[in-house]
Amino acid sequence: MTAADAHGPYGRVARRLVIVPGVFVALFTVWPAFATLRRGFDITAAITETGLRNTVLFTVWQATVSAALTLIVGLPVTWIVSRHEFVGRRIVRALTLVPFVLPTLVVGLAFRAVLPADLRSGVLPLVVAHVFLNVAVVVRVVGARWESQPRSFDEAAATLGAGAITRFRTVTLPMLRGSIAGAAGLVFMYCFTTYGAARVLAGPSRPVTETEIYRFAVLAGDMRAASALAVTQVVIVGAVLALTARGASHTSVPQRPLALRTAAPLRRFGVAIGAVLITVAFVLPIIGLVSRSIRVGDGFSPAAWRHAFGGAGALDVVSSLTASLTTAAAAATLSIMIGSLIAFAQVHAASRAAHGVATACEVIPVVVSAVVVGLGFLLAFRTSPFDWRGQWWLLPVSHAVVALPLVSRTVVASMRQIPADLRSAASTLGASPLRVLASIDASLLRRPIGAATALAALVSLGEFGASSLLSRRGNETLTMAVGRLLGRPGDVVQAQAFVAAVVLAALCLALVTVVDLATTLGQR
Amino acid sequence: MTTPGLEICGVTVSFNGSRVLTDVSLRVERGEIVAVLGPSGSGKSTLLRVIAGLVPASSGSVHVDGNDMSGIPTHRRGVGLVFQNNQLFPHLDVADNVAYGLRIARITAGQRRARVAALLALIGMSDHATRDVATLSGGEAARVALARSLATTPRILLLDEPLSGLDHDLRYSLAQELRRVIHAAGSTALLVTHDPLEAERIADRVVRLTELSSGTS
Repeated sequence: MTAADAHGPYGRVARRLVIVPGVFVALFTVWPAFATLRRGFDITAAITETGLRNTVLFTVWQATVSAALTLIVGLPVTWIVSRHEFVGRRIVRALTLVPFVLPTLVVGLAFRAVLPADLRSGVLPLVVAHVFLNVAVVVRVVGARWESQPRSFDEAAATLGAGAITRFRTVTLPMLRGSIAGAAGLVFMYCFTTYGAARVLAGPSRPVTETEIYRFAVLAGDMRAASALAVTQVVIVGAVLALTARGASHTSVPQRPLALRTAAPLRRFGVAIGAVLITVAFVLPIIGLVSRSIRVGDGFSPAAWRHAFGGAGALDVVSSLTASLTTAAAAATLSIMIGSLIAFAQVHAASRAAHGVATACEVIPVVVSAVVVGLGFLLAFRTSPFDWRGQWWLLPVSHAVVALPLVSRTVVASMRQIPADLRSAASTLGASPLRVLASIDASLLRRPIGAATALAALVSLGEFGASSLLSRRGNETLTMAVGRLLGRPGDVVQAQAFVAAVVLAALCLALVTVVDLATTLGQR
Repeated sequence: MTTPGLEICGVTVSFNGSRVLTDVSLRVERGEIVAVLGPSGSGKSTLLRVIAGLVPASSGSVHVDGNDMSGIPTHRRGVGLVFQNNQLFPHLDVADNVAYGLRIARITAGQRRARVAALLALIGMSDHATRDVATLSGGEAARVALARSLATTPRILLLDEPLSGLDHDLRYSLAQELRRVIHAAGSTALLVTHDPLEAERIADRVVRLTELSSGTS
């Protein structure tokens, strides 16, 4: 196969188009990162100043504990939902994924609603919330591998004399190792860059880096400390991802679907108990969230809801909802356009330079957390000709940057799965490159691109980190409303924060359900 | 009369109400290689899986070396199974695949090395001990799978279309090698295949699956 064949019919176009995402990432990720680095390049501050150092150490510590516990809880959950077929399996599996779909701020609130008063803030609730949020990562990442692991490896080991535990230790675990390391790295990163849940649960005495960046930048106006923390965080996240991503791509296993079926009575009993426990654990916080929104003082009252929809009081749900939806629509559109171009160049570009640009566009946004994006925007876009602080579009652009890694990764993965031979076949049947793109790639990618767009919208709806640094008066999204209301006294006002959180959660779940239905219907 | 290496009596298997095997009986003497012929989908693989304990029989019995196998889990049966697609463990190299069962049987490292070396010599792959199994050709993978199953000297060796993935010429030369290796190991073996020529080249005796139902053989 020659180089030209390898790049197929799109090599040249892909090489030219890579300029678009290249400029976007340079302007909205690299330049803000540079502006932050310029102020915070003295990261020794994060090592020498006790306050900053303690924050970083505590953040690493809680993220490590959270990631370890998430694996301990997540692996049995994955085993139950991805290796067994039972009535309601799909529902139980979907339940484990719900917290990941919800904004972390909302999950934090849900935990505040169900935990007893003396456990509402501190390390414990934060770690528990992290486990709850990230079990989904283990179920998705490890489950995908586990489900596709042919049963016959297990059977081969059994015929060679290995019992159930030995089989798990010597066959299953080594084959899952890469995916477990990958999941652990992702979970660590999510817990390390925790913001929404930490704002609600960690409490003022145990700040994490993201909340501290927010506090320094917005409340204290200390950009130097904020930048030093931001740079330190980027370095640590980059290092962890580089280490674990290598592990994730290590073993390759032939994929084959597996018939799931329950077996021995003891195992069936264990799975049943587990499924019930999972259901309870994942439904309870959501019930807590809803019930808290209708509680005022000691009694129940729909006052908060009435006020919120009547436009009276501290929250105007309708206008916040509109702001959330427009922002999400703009951010998702932008993100999918840029993300698809990155993927297109990544998979098809004919020149090494174009390929390099695409890879940079894919990798750089990964290490920049939401709050760091917000801080970077704040620092980069304050002087002319880049003084864009007052522009309405800055918020959706920041959301698009936050969503970009997820979007481009999803699209790249599905683009790679299209066999080059399909294109060759279409070409030999007389299709021009444009025709091939329309008839082969576009139709095969319609569903993954739809899913990635919904993912971007989801990220935008729940986006709180960048938003809280870029917030302006007016045009307040639901997430920003929750953040603002929480800080204010009064029973009804507090209940209204939960009203906004319930509306937000419902919106996210509705979005996911619609996309899920569309994909399942599309498969028929 | 001596105890047979394998005795199957009236085995019936049903999945969700449909019968896959009906009243199958078969006797294999110790040290004998028997091939069962049948078209694909006739339940040949299921027969092997019943013997290995991977699939429960609805009725009937399986005896290995005179011992009733009912209720005994796969890993305590002492039955070797060479899978259709070999199922070599992708995370282990050639030698470690062959040594897998020896490790589980807690054979000491020294004896293990010697046994693996002998087996690799037997299949003509002494120079490939540290190779990644993903790089093996179809014929090499089939031989490694055979060596892995022979390593623990199973009381009976089951082979499920061991050569099905190979091209014509290699298939029949490897068939003779399989026969040589199995006999050299002194193993009792039951092979299932859809290819009469392959069956004849490997086995001492060839029977059709349809002949095994109710009464015959």
